Amino acid sequence: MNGLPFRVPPVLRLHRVPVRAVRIAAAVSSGLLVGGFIEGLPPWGIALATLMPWFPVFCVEAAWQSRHYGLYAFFGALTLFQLGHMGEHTAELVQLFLNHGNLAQSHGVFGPLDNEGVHFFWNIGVWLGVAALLYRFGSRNPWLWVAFIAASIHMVEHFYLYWLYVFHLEFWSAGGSAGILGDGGLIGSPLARPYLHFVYNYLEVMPLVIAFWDQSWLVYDKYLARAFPTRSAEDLVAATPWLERLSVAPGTTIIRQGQPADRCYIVAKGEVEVLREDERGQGWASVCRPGQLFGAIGPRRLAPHGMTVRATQPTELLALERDAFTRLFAESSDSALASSG
Amino acid sequence: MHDAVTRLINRRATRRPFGLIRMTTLAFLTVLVAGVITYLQVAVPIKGARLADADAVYHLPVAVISTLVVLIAAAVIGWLSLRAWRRRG
Repeated sequence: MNGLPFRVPPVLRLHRVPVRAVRIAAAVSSGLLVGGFIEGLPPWGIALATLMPWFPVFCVEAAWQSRHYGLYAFFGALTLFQLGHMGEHTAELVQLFLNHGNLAQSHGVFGPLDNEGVHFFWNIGVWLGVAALLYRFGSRNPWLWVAFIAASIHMVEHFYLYWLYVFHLEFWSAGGSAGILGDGGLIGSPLARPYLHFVYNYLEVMPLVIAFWDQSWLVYDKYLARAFPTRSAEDLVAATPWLERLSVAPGTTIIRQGQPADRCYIVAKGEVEVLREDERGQGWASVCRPGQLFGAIGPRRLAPHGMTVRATQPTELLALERDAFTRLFAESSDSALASSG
Repeated sequence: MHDAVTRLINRRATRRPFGLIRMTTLAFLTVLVAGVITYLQVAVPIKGARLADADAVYHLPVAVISTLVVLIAAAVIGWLSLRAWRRRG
């Protein structure tokens, strides 16, 4: 929450993975990179070894983001993979430069994957992925349209190439692999296939990265939306950066009755029990499950908490500070607020 | 904190997807990429099999079918997206 105004969209920060785990992954990855060079592994072996320690970090963070931000997590993964794909094309250009244009020796880092089938299925996956994002986010993200148009043009080329590869292999081998717009291809252009496909990827990846960046400013937490179902998307987007994630062990007391109320909480995972006691000493209990809010009345009325809340399971909470809460939700008439204490 | 929240909301409201700084940066990057690719095409020509121009057009119907398939699918996706946005308001 400190360091405002944000230069980087707050949702791009690590949420689930601790910084220590990232440092360990970076150290192991660097070690494997050096080890791979010393052992004389092929480029794909070195790249795989270097990327491997990042895999659990990526999976844990992506799973968390998917649970909280829905399809936006897929947007992030697609953008990351496409950047990797762009890196592969860049590596191919460097190899061509070093090998004086010898294509047989220039297949990028993951050389065994440089075949027409992989190109086709990768591109159709990206094209359909961008289509799904367009369906969900396109109304507020014009750069997704640009990415979709570029991906569609690229798709035509790969559709044609894969068809030739499967049904007219002789023609493909004799030079048909130049495709539609490649030098010596059906329509042709001054650019040889590797250079043309680098351009295709550039035109596809840049809008995707920009679209992802813009979308990162428009994302809100699904559990926040469930806790405040009547708030506008703008309010939810503005509140999301102020959510603080807390992991709570079973049996932990989160708030105590009579304690100063400086924040409210939303259950994102697990369950908590809410215990209240009136002036006569009579008590009653209820439970809050994912998407439910508690501890909201105190901060709203500037009064102490009127209940004790305890985790009954391993629980993940999203805490919202009183200032942000009152600024953004002061006029809220949500039933969640009324029932949450 | 209140000022920070207001600033963030205002920043979002004024964010322009095709702003001058962004488009200038993108134009610069595109010119750079175009320069590198042009240099490579001229200085590092690719050696490989090449069809004669007359032979290259032999499978024109395949290209036409590819274009139509992608065009129709893209149009359907665009239509579905527009319909979904209208429904969501």
